[in-house]
Amino acid sequence: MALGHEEDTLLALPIERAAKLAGVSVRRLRYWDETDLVSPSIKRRLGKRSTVRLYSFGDLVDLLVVALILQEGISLNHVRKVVAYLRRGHYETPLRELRFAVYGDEIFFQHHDGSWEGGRQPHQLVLHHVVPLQEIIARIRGSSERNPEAAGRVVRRRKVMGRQPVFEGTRIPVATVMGYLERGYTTERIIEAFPLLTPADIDEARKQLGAA
Amino acid sequence: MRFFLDNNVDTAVRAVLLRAGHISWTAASAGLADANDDSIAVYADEKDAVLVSHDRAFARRHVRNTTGKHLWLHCEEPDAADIVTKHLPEILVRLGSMPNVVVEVSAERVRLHPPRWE
Repeated sequence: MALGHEEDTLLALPIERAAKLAGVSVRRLRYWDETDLVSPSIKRRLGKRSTVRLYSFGDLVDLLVVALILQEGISLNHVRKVVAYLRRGHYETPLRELRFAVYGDEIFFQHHDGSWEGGRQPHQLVLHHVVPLQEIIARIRGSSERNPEAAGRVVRRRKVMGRQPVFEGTRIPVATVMGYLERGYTTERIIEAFPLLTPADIDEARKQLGAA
Repeated sequence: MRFFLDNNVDTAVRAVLLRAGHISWTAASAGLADANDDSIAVYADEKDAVLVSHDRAFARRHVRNTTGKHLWLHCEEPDAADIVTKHLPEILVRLGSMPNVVVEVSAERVRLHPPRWE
C-alpha cells in the first residue's frame, strides 16, 4: 500500500494514543509487540521500567486492520497464523499491503494480482466485511488532532515539561501563554504562534494571570 | 539541517529555519502534541533531527544524558525567533561539531554542552 502523503512518514504516535486509536488496551499492544504480531517502528529501552514505543503510520494501519478483524469475531490465534503464513511468503508487511475480508469465522486476503485466498475458497461468496483501508487511513490522519473537549483545560503530567501546568492535549505550558499576555499580545497572535491552542485556552491563561 | 520543534516553540522560529533552507516540523504534526519528554527526545534522535525546545528541566536532563542533538532556547518564547535569527550561523556550527550535543542559545551567547561521558 502506498502511504502517499509526506506528512505520513513523520507521524509516530506514542503507545497510549495508538491504543486509543485501535480501541485496545496499552497492555494488549505491548503483548502484540512482544509476540511479534504488530511492533512499533521506533522502540527504545531507556531504563528498567521505561521503554519508548512510537507507532509509525504503517504500524498504525497494521494495528487497525488487526483490531477490526478481531472485532469481527476472529480469534487472535487465527490472525497470528494468517500473518505468519503471509510473512513466510512474499509479504514483508502483509497487514498494510493486502486487502483483508472476513466471512463468518474465516479471514480472506487479496493478492496483488487480484485473486483472493483464505481458509476456505470464497468462490461465489459475497465477502461481507472488507476491511476499509481508506477509512483506516483517514482515521489515522485525524488522530493527531487535538480533542476539542480539551480546550481551556489545564493538566500536570509526569515527564511532561517538568510537571508544570500545560494545556490538555498539548505540551504548551500555561506560563508560556501568560508571558505573551503580559507583553500585550492578542489572542489571535498567540494562536498564530501556537496553532494547537484555542480562544478558550487563552481565556484560561488570562484568568490565571489575573488571579496571580 | 533537520529541526524538530517542541510544542512550546513559537511558529515564528519554524519560519526562520524554513527561510534559511532547513527542514523543520513540529511535535503536533508528528502526532506527539501531548507526548512525554522521553518520546519527544527519542523521536527526534530516530529522525536524525535537532530537537528544539524551551524547557529548562528537559534541557538539563538532556545535558546529563545526551543522545542526539538538542537546541535549548534559553530565552522568553516571544524573543526566540529574533535570537535564533541573530545566532543561526553559530548555532549551526556548534550543532555540527558533535554527534551528540546540547546547544544553549540566549540573547547574549551560544553555549555548547558536550556529552558528559564522551
